Amino acid sequence: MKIAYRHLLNLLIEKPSIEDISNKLFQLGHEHEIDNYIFDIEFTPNRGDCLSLLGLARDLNVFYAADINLPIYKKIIPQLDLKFKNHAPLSCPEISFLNIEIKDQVTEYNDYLENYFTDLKLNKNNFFTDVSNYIAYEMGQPTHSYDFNSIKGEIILKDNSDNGFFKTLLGKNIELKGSDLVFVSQDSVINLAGIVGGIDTACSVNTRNALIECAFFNPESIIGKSIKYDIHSDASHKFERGVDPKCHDKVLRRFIQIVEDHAEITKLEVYKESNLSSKEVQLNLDVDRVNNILGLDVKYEDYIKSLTSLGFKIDKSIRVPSYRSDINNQNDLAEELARVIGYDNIPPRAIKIPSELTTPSTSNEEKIKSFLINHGFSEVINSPFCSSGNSTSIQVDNPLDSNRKYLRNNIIDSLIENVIYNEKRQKDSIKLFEISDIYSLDSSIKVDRRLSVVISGRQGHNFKDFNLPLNEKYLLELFKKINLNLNGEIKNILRDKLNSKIKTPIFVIDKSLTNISNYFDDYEFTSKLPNNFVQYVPISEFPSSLRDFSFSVEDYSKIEEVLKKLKTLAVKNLKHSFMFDFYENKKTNTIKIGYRFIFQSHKKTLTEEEINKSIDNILKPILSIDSVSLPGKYLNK
Amino acid sequence: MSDNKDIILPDALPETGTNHPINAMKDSIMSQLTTFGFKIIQGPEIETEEYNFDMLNIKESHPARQMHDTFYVNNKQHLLRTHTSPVQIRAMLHNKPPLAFISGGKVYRKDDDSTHLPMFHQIEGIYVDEAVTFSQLKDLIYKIIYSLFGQDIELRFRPSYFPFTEPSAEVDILSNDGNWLEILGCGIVNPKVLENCNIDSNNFSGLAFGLGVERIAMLKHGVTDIREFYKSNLDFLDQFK
Repeated sequence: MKIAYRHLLNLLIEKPSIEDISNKLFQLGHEHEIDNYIFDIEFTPNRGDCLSLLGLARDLNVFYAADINLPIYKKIIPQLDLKFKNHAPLSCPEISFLNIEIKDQVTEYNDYLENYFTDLKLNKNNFFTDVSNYIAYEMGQPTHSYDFNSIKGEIILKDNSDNGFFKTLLGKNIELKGSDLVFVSQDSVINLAGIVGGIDTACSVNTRNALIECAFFNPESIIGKSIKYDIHSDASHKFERGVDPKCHDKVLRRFIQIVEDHAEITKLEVYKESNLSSKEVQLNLDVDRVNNILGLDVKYEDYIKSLTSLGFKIDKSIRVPSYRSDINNQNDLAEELARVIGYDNIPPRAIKIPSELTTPSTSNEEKIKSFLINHGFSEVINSPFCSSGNSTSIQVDNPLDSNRKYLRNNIIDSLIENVIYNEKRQKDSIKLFEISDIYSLDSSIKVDRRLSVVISGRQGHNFKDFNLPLNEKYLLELFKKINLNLNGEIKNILRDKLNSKIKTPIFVIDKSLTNISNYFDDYEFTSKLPNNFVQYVPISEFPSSLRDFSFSVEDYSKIEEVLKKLKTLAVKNLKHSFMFDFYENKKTNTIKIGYRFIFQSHKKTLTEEEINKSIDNILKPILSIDSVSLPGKYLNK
Repeated sequence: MSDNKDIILPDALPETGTNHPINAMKDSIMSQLTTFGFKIIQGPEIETEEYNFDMLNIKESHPARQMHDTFYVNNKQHLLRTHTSPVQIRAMLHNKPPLAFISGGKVYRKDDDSTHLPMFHQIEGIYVDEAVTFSQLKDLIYKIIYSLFGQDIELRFRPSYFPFTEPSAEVDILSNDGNWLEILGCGIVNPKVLENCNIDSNNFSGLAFGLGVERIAMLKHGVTDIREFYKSNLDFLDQFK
């Protein structure tokens, strides 16, 4: 909510700086930003009482004395004989109407009203609607102004389940669906209660006779309607968070006062209906209990002073003001005291949680992960949502979109998508796994925690694994290490239905953890948890280019130097390099070192010329080593 | 030229893979929390409204329960848990205080942008005993934050609102660029929640906290787009080896 600093100052007897107020607002829990002397405050949803100048001043009164007695009309107001029926007293237990007529149209506003529009850069509508909006800003209570002459019949408030159309006062056409709380007159909806009024009964600049509706709607009756109809009004925001059910008399008298400040009033009548008990919420005055909650030793007098400054009335018990619907127990009072003290001013007290625990043992799930990671597999986490399902799939009632309307009932499909994704990024050795709960629906919801593994491409990039394929045999031998025989359980995924031109075979395993967990009982767990947190380097979306070289080394004593230089290369755009071949040619008494260099830029697709320049910077220091040569040309281009 | 023709084969160390950085972060934090005395508990990701909302004092009218915030499944008979708190509810129903539990795992909300995903990870903790206080909660939060960001980090507590805690707080840390960043939510367990779990709130009180794993991981690793974690891109994952 936007609140102007200078408007707030009008209610504060002291005149604190904007910085002082800002600090106190944070202390009270009112997160905000400041732009050009306007606070934009994000109140927590339980603090609907703060959604106004008055409400905020009441909260700040604990730091700066506030004068919250706004000028109001004090004379007796005659009763209005209004044809009104409330068929929804549970949704609207308190409602008042004010009929107010003025002699002449109002064309100029007093400073306080004019400043409201100019300071907050708001558009004016018509006099009565403008006063209505100002009252909501000043006092937090939304009111609705009807042109009284446009209402021809009885007004009925009811829960409406009839479908139909409604045009808002902003000109938006709405098709009413489901149940809504509405005001109806002559069988037409004239107001979507608590959200927005209708165009047919709205005030205009010509309106001189207005009917002002001032209601308390239970938040439950309003919540969800603004989203349902995509109408985010100030009124709905306030009603959803709760307004003061006992403020109507004061609000309408303030309304009259503002009108009287601008025009000669020729008629005033009021209608009131109250179904709410006038009994206040009362809580025990128990400073010890509050101290026990906070871990403090606040004196009784200081506790009383804090609560009093927040508007609580204290006698033998604590009487909660009607606008504080969020205060219901001693913990709520403890929070009030904590806010006044300041959370950061409450000293920490040493906590010692009595633990029956010894060092937690390593689970077999952790051992499975450790085993796979030690063998070059990377763990992935995939979305549980998918586009299609089968008879046991669980359907999402309200999916984000049609591609995510089921919960997946296998992990393999996700892993295959991961393979294709990485192949498109020129990955030629892919070893992934995921462990996840998989849910299915039979007579009830069933859960199975599963491990799925996928492989495709080379076994690795070192010179021993480079030319070995990832295949069924690889998986069989891998799991034989923990005596798990997967014969017949490894699936070769057919490529013909995959969106990929690459033909490298894909193999998968999918097992329930309960079936394989015991095979890892004796596996030695090695923790891979991070000690130091690496700083992520953003990934380039530009294609990479690779170049292979086969270096020939005649003097074997130079091999170490060659390899060291190759490992410590610092060349522009070199993303990755590794030795894929190491071979002794006994006929020529030379060692061949095959090395792959992968180039990629974060800014662009590299040109041949740019890559060649980087290659020159690689080759020059290597070829300067005695007995090292580069027979032939690049192996790949 | 040297006459030495003995070949010393270079190392061909097997390449290792990596934990997913989110799971690594989650496990690291939970491991640290166990040293404070918390016991790890687990629970289902598909929950009922009763455990996910009602028992936690989240009223039917609360916006979080609306279809635009929560994923419902199986003709609205169940939902995808929106936090790991129902795990703690189940544990409190089956254990008597003193109790100290942490739960971590996937949670689901109807969001999808560069800072929010429909699936993310949360860690929540609860400690219920005689006379647990807000000042003790502060001590615990300091310990958690210091273990994550070091003893020099500056932090602040702000009043906040969660239906299941009262008083409630959010905790911010001061980043290197001078901005306060929200790190976790915490509070004293609302007595209504204790009573819902058959724990006498006159004799026992509790503290609770919850943090988003992705948020911590993004800060610690410098990842600015949460979606990077879930692309399964080996160029991304390999950086966390």
